[in-house]
Amino acid sequence: MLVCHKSADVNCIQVVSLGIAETSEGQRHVGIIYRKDNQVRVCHLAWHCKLIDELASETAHFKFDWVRIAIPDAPLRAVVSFIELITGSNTGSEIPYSFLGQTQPFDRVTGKYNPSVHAGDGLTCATFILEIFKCLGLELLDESSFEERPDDLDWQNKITYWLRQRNVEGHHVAKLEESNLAKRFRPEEVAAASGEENLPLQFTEAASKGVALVEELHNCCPFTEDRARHR
Amino acid sequence: MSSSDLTVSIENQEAFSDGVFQRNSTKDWDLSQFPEAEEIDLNSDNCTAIIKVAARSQHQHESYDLHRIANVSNRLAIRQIDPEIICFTILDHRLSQYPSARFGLSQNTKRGEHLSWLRLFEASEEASPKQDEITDVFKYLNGMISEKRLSDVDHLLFLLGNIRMSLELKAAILRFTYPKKDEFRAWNSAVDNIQDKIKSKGDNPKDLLFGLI
Repeated sequence: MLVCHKSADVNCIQVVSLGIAETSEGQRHVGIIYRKDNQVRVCHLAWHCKLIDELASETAHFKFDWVRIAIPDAPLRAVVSFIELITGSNTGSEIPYSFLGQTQPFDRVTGKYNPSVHAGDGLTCATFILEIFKCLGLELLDESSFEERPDDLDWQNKITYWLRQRNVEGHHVAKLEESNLAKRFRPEEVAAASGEENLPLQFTEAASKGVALVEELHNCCPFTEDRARHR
Repeated sequence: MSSSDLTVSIENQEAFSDGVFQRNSTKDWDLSQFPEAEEIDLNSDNCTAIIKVAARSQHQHESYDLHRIANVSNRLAIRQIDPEIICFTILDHRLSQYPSARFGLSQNTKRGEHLSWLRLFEASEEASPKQDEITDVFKYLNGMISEKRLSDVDHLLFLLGNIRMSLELKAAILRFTYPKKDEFRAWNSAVDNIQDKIKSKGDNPKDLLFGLI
């Protein structure tokens, strides 16, 4: 299911694939790799107010591996055009990072990010992708079937700690710190779903396919301290 | 204004009666009988129909002379898309030249080719659109919805099966309008229509309409 960047050229991606990388110990990151004007680009919510859209060859700190996508090409071409709308309507600094989610984060017509209604709202790299696909009738995960997982609390604490350290607006971080355990859509689950024909994936299936994908990722591209030093 | 206040007349050199054009007669439609759409065959060799839309309460008439599309076999769709607007559209291969017109009944009558941009995307159903074409269609739809012209988008969806455009682009239009599908009366029937067209070509509709059906 996973294609390793070391064994295949990213230029073989014809329309869209979901890329995944381990960016720090136990921390995965997911992005959309897509072809536009005969160039392969990557669009991903890298961090708080940091939407990146760049040539795949320019990704600096890590290389995405990618999942062989099961969605037909025609709907994926609509995804590419929608990404163009989003990247054309946003400067890249509008989308807060948050595991609390946001109802209808994009104006579904303009692709513009709707400023958060509630403090603490925002997206993660995974929910950013889920929302884009959802806007076009492509539901990767059955979000209503997902459950809170106690081990995600450590991850939530890690994220709020990182946000504090990087001087993100206090009220935003405070809201995340106050929050209870939230449903989490993990990057590997979103990426794994893109390789499935029968969508949306239910929670249990998504969770097990996510675990399998992480195993594949660790086999080909385990996280190394070398990569951390380059950050 | 309710639909029962409105009538649509078509006058023709050979006017319409019981499915056949006859000279010098007029056919009236009470749109309250046709809440969704009325589709009429204009199978006349010399079709120079004049459409009149009358708002009884306002004694307002508007005529459209269809002589521009004379000598073709056409179907005409008349549809009240909201309490104040009626659209009529010629459903044939010349749609891109004469896509639609609409009557505004509560203010000065408006006419125009609100969907004239469709002509930019005229292609056979089998054609594969360029990526830029999909993006441009999204931008046009984006503009229409941003300007709150939801009734025009709904009308486009109503026409979608009949316009000359690649099926992939039609599917992209359905996909783009998907989040607002509950606001468009014609969305579900447009999906059914495109699905039937794909099936009739022997293709699997689940490719183009993945996630929508």
